[in-house]
Amino acid sequence: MIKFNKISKSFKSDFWGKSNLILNDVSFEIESGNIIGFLGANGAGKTTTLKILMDFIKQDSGEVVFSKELGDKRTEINRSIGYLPEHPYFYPDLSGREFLKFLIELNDIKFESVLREVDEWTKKLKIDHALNRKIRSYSKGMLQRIGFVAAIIHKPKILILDEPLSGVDPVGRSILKQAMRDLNKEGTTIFFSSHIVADLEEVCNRVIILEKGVVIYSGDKVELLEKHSSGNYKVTYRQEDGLSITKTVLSKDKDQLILNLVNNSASIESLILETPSLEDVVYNLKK
Amino acid sequence: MKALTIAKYTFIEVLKSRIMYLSLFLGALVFVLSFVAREFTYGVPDRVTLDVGLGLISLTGAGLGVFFGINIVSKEIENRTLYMVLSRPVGRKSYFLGRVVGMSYVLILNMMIISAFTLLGYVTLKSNAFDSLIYWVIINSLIESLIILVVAVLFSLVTNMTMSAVYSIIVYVIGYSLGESMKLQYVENHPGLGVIINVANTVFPNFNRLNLKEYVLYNSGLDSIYLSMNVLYGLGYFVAILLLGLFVFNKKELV
Repeated sequence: MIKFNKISKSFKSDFWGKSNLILNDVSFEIESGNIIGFLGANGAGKTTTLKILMDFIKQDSGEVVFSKELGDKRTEINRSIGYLPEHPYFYPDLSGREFLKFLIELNDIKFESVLREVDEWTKKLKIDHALNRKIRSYSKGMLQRIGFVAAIIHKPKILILDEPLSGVDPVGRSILKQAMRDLNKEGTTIFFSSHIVADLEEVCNRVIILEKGVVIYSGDKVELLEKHSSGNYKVTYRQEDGLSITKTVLSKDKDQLILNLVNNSASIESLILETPSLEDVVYNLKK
Repeated sequence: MKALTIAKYTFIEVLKSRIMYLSLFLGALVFVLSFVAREFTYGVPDRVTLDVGLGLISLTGAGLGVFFGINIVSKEIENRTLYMVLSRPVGRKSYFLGRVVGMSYVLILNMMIISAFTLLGYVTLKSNAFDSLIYWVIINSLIESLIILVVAVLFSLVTNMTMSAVYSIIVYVIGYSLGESMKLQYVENHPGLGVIINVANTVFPNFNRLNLKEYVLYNSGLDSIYLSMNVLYGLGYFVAILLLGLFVFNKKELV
């Protein structure tokens, strides 16, 4: 869908200053139908990457290739994209409804034709009560929610979110994560950046990890976790006397243990490959 | 078309903010100051009222032009509000034009309010016939403030908001000084300096050309061709700076 090909970008702090390399030969692919987590510490270059993707800034070298399904011209491509910037600040003197109307009109869609969707999503994201209030009065979480609605209301093919969950309360985070899953089920590709590993682990199926401007992993989340697994299995079984026991065994010993349990008439309740959390893996990758 | 949508919402946004109270306050202030100035003069109170009123229109217009101009785009970049707009199928040109046009509407409305107060002050005091040239003075002041607006926008694209305001005020002062400096004996005696000032006069806007206040105060008639040419000069300058701003914005890194 979108291919990031050997992108490098550096910034100068001032006119005479030395330039700092923010992105170094960054390559990855956003494949259709996935929820892709873009992970990196603060200052790793995530927002810079997204700004290049959105054509807000130009890369020094490399190219961003968009598939034909997104369109040829930049304006056509933008029609297929929903974008929510980091720390959204919207026009403070417009009401939430006016703000949505404004952005919808920019997509050449009549606001009246999406009233049902606006109603549905604002209710789902629990922002419907504040639609007629000035955005000035919105809290950080409310800004994220109205921004999220604005990003999806024109039914984009791909949703690009920059730290959508930062600064949002636990209830809000849960609602936004569920909304991402729902949209993905409907066919929307989601690419979202975060420095909070747990959020990514919960929602995404693919991960791109950026460290100091370099991609250190790009691929399937489960594969990554399994690759870094200890190989041990956690077996939970119930004995004849009803006692439930959980044991951790090495991979090579698991077959023998199961055989023994079956012979002893124990019932096996679960057999799980022990995988580390994404956070542990990321920590190890960075070392 | 997109530019018009952006202009519409820019106008609505400013209209809903409390900025419009500022022009009501300024209008009332112009009215009161004109009245006070009249009280301190003998013989020609209506001329003094008009002099002070029209002068203040030009000054407040320039002030508003700077204030609106430095906020049009740079504040949007600072607050990241433009990212939501530019992530839509909207070209940078449409965005920039929409913002400038929207803010120009606001400026025009503000200038109309302030001018209405000035004319109200004059109408209540005037002893002679109402000179239609006053309207031309107001139109020219409006064009002057629009030029300052785009000059401030242009500076705000290359420097910070404070410096943009300072540079715009400098352009305003230069725009009034250059024409006058040509009349100085010293400049007349130094032709080289005259050439430099002439070049500068081409680069910087000649606000003296747009200032017709003296003609109204001394009841000097002006033909419509001269008046139209002045308006064309002002609008031409406005468009030139607008296009330059458009070019810079198109190339700008929206960090």
